[in-house]
Amino acid sequence: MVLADASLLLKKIAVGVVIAAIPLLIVIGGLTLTRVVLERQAGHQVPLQTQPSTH
Amino acid sequence: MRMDRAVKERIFRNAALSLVIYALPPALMFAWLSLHRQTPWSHPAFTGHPTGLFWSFCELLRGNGFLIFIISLGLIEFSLGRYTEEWRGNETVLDIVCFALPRLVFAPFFAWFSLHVLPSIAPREHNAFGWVPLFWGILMLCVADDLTHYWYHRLHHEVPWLWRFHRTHHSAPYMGMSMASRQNAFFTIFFSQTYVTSILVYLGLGPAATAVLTIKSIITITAHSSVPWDKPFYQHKVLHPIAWVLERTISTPATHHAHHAATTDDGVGYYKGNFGNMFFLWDVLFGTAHISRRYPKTYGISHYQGDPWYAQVFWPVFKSNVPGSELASDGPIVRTDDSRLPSGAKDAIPAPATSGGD
Repeated sequence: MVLADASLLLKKIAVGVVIAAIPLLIVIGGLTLTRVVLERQAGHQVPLQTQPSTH
Repeated sequence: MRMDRAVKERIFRNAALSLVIYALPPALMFAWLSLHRQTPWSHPAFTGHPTGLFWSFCELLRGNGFLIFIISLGLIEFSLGRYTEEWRGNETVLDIVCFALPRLVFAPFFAWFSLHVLPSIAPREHNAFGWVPLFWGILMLCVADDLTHYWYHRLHHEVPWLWRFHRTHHSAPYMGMSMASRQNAFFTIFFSQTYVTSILVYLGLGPAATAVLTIKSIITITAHSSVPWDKPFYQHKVLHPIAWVLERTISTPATHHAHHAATTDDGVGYYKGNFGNMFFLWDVLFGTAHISRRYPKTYGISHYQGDPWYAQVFWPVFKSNVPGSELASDGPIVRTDDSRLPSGAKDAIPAPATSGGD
């Protein structure tokens, strides 16, 4: 009985972890990707903006 | 006891749609920042804590203000005679224990998780997303917290073996502000959305979480309350357009009371759906909504026989001594209750199991 209850609790925790992991992965992944892509985009513009004047 | 195939298929279909919904706020923020050529992480001003009347209100409620709010609401319910003679003995003890436990035990546990566990696991990630603009942070948390809560709640109704962890919340034959916290301890301590939000707060979405959790707490408590604040919206024709939007957006007493009804066959009660906590929108999107603009006549579980409070709070550690109860040692996973089944379907459907209790 104790083992069955412990196994039930573990199963419940596992379900809870999956339910929590999905949104976390999507949000954290999305934010990380946003920063990486936008930094890369901004990075391409930097040389143009900081190019020393030839005048 | 196995899950109904149709229920299982609908869960998978709705879960697939949820992945898209979860991704929407970060995707929209990316599009916005890209369009406006903004890189908020390069501006330290974005990490500041907002000020103003709304934020002072949030801070007040997140402190002792919220406790004062719910106790005041409870007193109003008492003075209006909303608690019937059924609220006595075992039920009173159960409601008081469930009210105190989250504040005395679970809150310190979650604080320990946020202040000690997370920093020890990911010390360098603290405030990594502090640059996320407040509006987008709020949108992200509205979805990440409340949609996760919706799924956690829905699965405890639709997956038969999970139902007993949620049964305590539905056992009371009455409604009131105390119902919001009337939960099995293991249901509350493993709330998925609490961990999602705690982690996102640690990563820098703290101010957004303050706003979202304040509004969510008010909506959740008032949806459980026996004070039907939404009634005037249904009574006055001029307010019907507002009611139409309101009842499809957030949880109201009418829709959430229907979820706690003892029956689902009278056109008012609907324990097979209305799972939303802050937003009712999820129920509308996933087809689990039932809107009647009426309040059920009876609440709870029709076969409830007052399981001891300790069994309802700490099951499966402590078991009920009520023979045939779902919380008893030899009790069924989901008790068959033919009175809930539509006429003619009694032989075809084994139990309300797959749509989970009330």
